[in-house]
Amino acid sequence: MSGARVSIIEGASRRAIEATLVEGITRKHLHDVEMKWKPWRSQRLKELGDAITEESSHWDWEAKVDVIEGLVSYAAFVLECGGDAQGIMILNTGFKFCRIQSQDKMPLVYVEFLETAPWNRKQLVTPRRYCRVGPALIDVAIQVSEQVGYQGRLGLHSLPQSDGWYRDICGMTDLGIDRDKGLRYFEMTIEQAAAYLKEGR
Amino acid sequence: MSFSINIPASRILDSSHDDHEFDVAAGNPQFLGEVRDKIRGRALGILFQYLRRDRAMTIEQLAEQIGIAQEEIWALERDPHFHPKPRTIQRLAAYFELSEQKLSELADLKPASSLEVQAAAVRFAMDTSKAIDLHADERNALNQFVKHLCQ
Amino acid sequence: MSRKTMTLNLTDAEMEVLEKLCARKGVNKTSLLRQALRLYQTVDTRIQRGDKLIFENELTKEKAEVVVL
Repeated sequence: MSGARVSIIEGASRRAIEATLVEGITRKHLHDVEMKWKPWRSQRLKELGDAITEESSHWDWEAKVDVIEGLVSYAAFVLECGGDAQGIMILNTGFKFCRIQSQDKMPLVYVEFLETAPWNRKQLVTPRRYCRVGPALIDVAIQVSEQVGYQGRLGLHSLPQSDGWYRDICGMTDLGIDRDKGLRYFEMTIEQAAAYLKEGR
Repeated sequence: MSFSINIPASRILDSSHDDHEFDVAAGNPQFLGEVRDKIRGRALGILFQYLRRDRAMTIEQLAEQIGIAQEEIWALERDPHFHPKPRTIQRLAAYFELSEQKLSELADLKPASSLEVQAAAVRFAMDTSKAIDLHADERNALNQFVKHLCQ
Repeated sequence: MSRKTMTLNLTDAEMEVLEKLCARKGVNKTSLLRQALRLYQTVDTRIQRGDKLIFENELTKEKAEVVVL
């Protein structure tokens, strides 16, 4: 399958390694999630005892794919490396609008879902198999926003373990806990998106 | 790809966007809710398909037995978005000796009285496949789920 | 991104609406019409599968179903 080449970092050696970004979630990716992600995570959670609760461990990716199938409002991306899916993201480009005053009600790309393979999560293992999978997918989301004409505007509900990254490192605006959803809502302005993409350009 | 994505290596490798301290994840609970609803719908469909096959009945035979249109049973078994009529749920509950209240909750015909049945449905939908024959683990999943629906 | 081009004929009034919406939403005409198409498909798909389209007034909580034929 053809796709864009993306550099990520191998956790143990801290060396750069090349991954492939693919658009669309295939049967092979679902197989990876079911037969590799889930057993690995279950085993790891067992080893860690009750010390950890994984927010994203209950969701069925096959049903997610069914929900978005054939809808042009959604775009899905998978970052592959070492023959396995390392991160999956679903974007909504159709009907989500900004909340920040300066760009109020302007359309944005909304990250419906972003999940990395369990072996790439700091919360579950050290060293991770691969680092920077999540940041690479956010880079993709910003570029999609530019290409659909939203100039990099981006919105998402962060899972608690990620709040600090979106706020302090990614540079998104923290709009606090969204009462309807029980999670913090973050939004990226055109300027913040430009700053994110400026590095390395 | 319908998007042309270009990520220079330096932007990932040398940037200050390091995820060293954090995991990067995001999720819209509403979107997940829609997925969960779909799983529940699927659970109901798989449940009746399994129960029917377990009794070696065709859709036609079951339809005739309980006096419901074949099309409705077919849709209930296969379409996770299908909304069955209260009468259909009532007759299926009576025929398979299951709790009508709990089945109605699963079918969104009545408000959920507890999360227990919903959770059991999600587990059931995730533990079963679309295989034609009932395997031992599928039969086990079916038995577990039926136990919840009988209580 | 692979794209196909088409000519779109609009009345003066429609063009005026399009230009005003573009200014308010901060997108160009192509982006706005593509977004409209995505929205249209989403609404149509959900209605096809039996969902209803409802507007709710944030203050009064008054709900009005949009009848889509």
